[in-house]
Amino acid sequence: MHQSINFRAMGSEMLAIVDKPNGDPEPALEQVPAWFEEWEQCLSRFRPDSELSRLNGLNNQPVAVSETLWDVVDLSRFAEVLSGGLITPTVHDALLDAGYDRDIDELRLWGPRSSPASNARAVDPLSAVLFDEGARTICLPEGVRLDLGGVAKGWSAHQAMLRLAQSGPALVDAAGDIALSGPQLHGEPWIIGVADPMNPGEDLLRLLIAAGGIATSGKDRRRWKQGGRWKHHLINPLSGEPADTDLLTVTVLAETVMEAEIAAKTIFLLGTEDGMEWAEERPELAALLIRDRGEIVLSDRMHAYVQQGEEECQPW
Amino acid sequence: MANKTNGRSWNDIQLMLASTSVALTLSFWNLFAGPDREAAVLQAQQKAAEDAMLQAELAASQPAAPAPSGESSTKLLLGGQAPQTQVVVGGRGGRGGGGGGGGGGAAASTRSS
Repeated sequence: MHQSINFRAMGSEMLAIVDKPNGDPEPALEQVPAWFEEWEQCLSRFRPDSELSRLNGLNNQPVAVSETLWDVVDLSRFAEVLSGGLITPTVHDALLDAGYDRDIDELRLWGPRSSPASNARAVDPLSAVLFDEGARTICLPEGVRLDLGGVAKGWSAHQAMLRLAQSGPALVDAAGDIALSGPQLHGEPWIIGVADPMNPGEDLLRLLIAAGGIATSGKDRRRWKQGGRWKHHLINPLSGEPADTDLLTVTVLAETVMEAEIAAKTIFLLGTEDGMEWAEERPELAALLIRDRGEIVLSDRMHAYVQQGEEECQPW
Repeated sequence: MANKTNGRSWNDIQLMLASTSVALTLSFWNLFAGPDREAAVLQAQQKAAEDAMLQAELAASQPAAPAPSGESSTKLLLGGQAPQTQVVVGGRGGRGGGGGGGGGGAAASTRSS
């Protein structure tokens, strides 16, 4: 029997579910919002007193950081390698230049505080930052600040799922980044919808997933106008500006939600042709791409799922 | 007699000046105000469209209300290894609560955040 909790954190809607026998109350569920609050206080660039903001305010000196901040920055290093440099937390200042200078709810209502930057430039790679794993310190060079954005959400969903899984099969949905611990109590997979960006509130298709992670990246929701032009939050580090690709959204299934989130963003930044080639080189991923005009493109693995599923179609 | 004629002429002149003044005012008003009004209407229409888009986005960012279960008509089964996606269910449907494998609405939906 499902027990769930909905709450708001990191500027988004969150959901956690645990499958328990006999409807026994699950006290760990009540703690999930507090976990997210603790992580947000550490990882958010929108909170001036967060640990990340303090780190961003100190240049050219090694700063000892908490295990949480270290782990998420370390995951960002992995993301940078996996994406060939396309996903990097050093896009912080490029995001500000693009107008993402306040919480997304405020941004949608009031717009950016800043005017368009006159000269966007390529973003510094994370290799410019010095890490000391033994001392767990991070040293940011002058002019480099970090934004942990989607990586932090994926990491948080994964961590919460691991903690809840001690009480039973668990699902954590952090703004669409969904982590699944394993099949439900009776061995059934979870039903996960893939939202239709053309029809808000509708699912394009539904997947039955036993375990792993699924995430979607796109420019359909987190966007705003600056200087009369639409901007979004997915920065191409080569240009230092919101990526100009032919994709609206990308959904990826992977072994963990963290990998799914990184892969979805990478494919989005690469665009349909290069993104699909990148996905096909990684058979452990299944990807669904929706182009600007609504055309749907599936990776081989996702196509195989759908095709095989249609052949074995059964009524509910 | 001459005074009478002169008085009538002065009235005629006043009437003519007033008529000309009104006509000129209306002409210039239409000449210069017209394009501005069209631009203003166009601007208002654009703003209304943008507001509607923003409202749609805000509405989409709110949690969806649970839909009646059992909306989907198909259940598609297939095998699969990593990423442990065992089954794909095709077909459209509104979002719903629950999440049991046997049917009903999705437990959660992935979407860009």
